[in-house]
Amino acid sequence: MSEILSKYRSDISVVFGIGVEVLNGARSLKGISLDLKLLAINGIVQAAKIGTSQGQSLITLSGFLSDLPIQIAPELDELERLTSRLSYQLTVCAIAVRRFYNYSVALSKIVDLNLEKLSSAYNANDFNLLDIRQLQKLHLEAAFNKLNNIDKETIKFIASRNVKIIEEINDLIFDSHNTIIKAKKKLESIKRNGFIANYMGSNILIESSYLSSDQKSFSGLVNNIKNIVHTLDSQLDRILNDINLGDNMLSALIKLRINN
Amino acid sequence: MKSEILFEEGSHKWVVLGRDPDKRDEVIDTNEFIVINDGQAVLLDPGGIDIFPQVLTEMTRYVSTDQIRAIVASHQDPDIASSLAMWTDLCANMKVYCSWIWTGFISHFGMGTNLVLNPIPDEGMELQIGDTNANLYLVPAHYCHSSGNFSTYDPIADILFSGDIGGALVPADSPLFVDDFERHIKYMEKFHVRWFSSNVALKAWVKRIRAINPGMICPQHGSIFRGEQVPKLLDWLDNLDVGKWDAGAELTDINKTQWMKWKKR
Repeated sequence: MSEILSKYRSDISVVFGIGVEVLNGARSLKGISLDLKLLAINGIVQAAKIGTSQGQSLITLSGFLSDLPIQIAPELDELERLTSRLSYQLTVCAIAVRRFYNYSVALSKIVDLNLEKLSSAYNANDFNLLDIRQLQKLHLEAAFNKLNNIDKETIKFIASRNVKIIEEINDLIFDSHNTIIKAKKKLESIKRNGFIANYMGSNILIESSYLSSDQKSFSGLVNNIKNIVHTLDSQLDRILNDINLGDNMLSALIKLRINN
Repeated sequence: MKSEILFEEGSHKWVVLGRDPDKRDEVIDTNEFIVINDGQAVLLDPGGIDIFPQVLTEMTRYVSTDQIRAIVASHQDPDIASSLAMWTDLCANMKVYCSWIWTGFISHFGMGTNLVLNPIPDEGMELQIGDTNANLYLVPAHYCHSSGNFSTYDPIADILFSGDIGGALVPADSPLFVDDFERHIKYMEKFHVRWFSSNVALKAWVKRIRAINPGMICPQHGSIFRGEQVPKLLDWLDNLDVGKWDAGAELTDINKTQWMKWKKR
């Protein structure tokens, strides 16, 4: 039992670490978004200097690009809110698991102590002390028939406390799982905006290729846009990977509960 | 974890828990005490969260969780207070007491539970064991070593729980009671010289305890003093020069060159 519990505890800690990574990643996206906006504004300024109809189309394209960070700002805020909530939920969950771990070890030791008193052939490992159904009727097990009522009550009380904490942890894990799904959807939406930014950059490059002069500065600008979009994409992929990993681990923890 | 009854008369009992063979080596060994009167109990310094399962298990040999009426934390250290949330979560009819200066700090050990702490005023207080006729007395021990610190005296058993005062880092096979005071000094001297910060406060505590004149002094670490060992401990503490981090050296003189190097950076 203690091996399963230790793994459970360390898995929750890993998920907690992932939650923090996701939160930090989400916060860093804001900086990338600001960089993109500054580049787009730079594009508008340069296009305005050209003064031809080609310059006008570049102003329009750069304008679209500069609007993108404004459009994704609420989505980034929502992602930050979701990932903050996820980190908080996982922290509370990790603490609850720590409490559960200590109570479970105590219950296991108390069961052993009482079975020793009865010179029983059983020990705590003969019972699944992580199973809610087993915990609910633990004090009624035949092995404890000869125990006095006070000792039976102690076992019943601590087992019922463990049931309560298991339920609390399960609620927290389900909530975290729901939050992680929402964060994932939000990330995918932000990723679509990154794709649009990339597309705009390509259009600016095509449009600027007709220019006899100033082309060089626009290709530099487009390269910077592409670099930023690439950084945004890599960061989003990294966050998405973390989220998927967290999602899988939380699903496994939920399954562990069901199997037990 | 081992346990032993220190005192038993009628329905009144003192139990010491400690010398835990299951604890991790890095975790300092602690003594936990249970005072029981008429089936109601007070737990003194319940220990850190790492040893909570062992303490709870051993405690159930003597009392069940619903018999615990109070916990007194002599001070704020993690080897005393980090398990408090686990206990309050478990024992519905129980109150936790600690120095008023530490309530806000110990609350950080809440672990998501509703950890309510009852403040002990600086001058100490009388603590009834549940609704029995027995009382414990919380005696000020401030700055010995913590700035908000209490010893607990039980007039029925004539036992004083002294917290860290008289504490010693003893080998695992040491006897429960100090039998050779001179030999025992080496296990407690460095601890007191380094951890305790005020000679004035220590002498004041000794004076207070001499007036009480307990038959037994039980520290949170190491062996217990009884009989003739009690005045020996008090005399030793009365003459001890504490508040040093390198015995005999003046704080300002140590590594003066090093301080200057840091300043130049």
